Amino acid sequence: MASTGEKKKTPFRDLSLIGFALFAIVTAATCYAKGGDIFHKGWDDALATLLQIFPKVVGAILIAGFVQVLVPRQLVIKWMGEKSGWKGLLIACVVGILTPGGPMVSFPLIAALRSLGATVGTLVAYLLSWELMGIQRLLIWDIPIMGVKFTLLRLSLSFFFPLLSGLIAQKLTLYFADTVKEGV
Amino acid sequence: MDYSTLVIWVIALAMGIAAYYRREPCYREGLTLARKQTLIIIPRLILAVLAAGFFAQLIPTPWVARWLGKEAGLTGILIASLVGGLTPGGPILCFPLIYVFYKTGASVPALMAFLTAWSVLAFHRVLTYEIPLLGMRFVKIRFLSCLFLPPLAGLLTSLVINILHIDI
Repeated sequence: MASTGEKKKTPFRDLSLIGFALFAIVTAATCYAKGGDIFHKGWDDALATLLQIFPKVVGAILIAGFVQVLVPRQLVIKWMGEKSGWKGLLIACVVGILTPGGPMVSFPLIAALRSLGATVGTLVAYLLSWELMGIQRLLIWDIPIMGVKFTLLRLSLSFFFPLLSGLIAQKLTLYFADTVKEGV
Repeated sequence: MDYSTLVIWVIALAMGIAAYYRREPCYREGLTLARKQTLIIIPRLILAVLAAGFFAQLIPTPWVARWLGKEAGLTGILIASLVGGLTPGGPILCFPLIYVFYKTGASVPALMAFLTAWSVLAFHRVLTYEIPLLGMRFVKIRFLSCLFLPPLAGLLTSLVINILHIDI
């Protein structure tokens, strides 16, 4: 599974690397054209930022790797597939936070949960919780770049969002049930 | 090395030890995953931060301050929500971009709305993952149920900042 997945991803990965490189070159060249001091200011800023976030990002990547092997996916699916209502929503939020990895990990998990009978509300709560508070994202990106204070503020505000949206989605399911005849 | 770096490395070490002493040792697997991730993220991160550093010199600062700054108020929050939702790509692109906005004078509520919108609306992810994997009906319900979150996050942020007078 892993090998075919990687083969598929390779062209896109290379493309994204080229994209970032092009973006860097174009902005650097534009700065240089505008004047040497502007170029140096940009270079110094970038270097300072890198020095500041680099050790954090590397440490966070390590954590993410260990989380992925320490949290068994089968257990998560079993846990969430069976529960519904408030309990299901709450569990969905917690599991969303703990799900490591990018969309390559979380979306197959959502598809699996759906086939096990999880409600739309639960799935929405899970998805939002992962998108807003996923542990890997918080560690690798939010804390190193936005800082601890901003991240804590964002977390305390975001904490109820998945629950809120999950409940709304639950209601919307009833409304859409009559108008759309397509299995969810 | 600052405090949060230290905490991150202590956690990483603790988890490594936990993985090492598991009944079925899985720490090699964890290290392999981390190495793969590092190879993907680090080169892109370096390029993205460089690009962001140069990009910040090119963005007209008054423009950012006018549309996303403190004076922009609710309009700024709404603009940030819209732009954030439409910003494509993963965190490697998004976070350096937000950093640029922060450095060029965007307000904290606007940044919060931007980041929330990029997280929950994520137009690119809807197209590439959600519609193919979960179907239109799910996407419709999910989109409607979280459309209001980014502006709400922005408004709550300005409320909290004004009440508690915190400096971020």
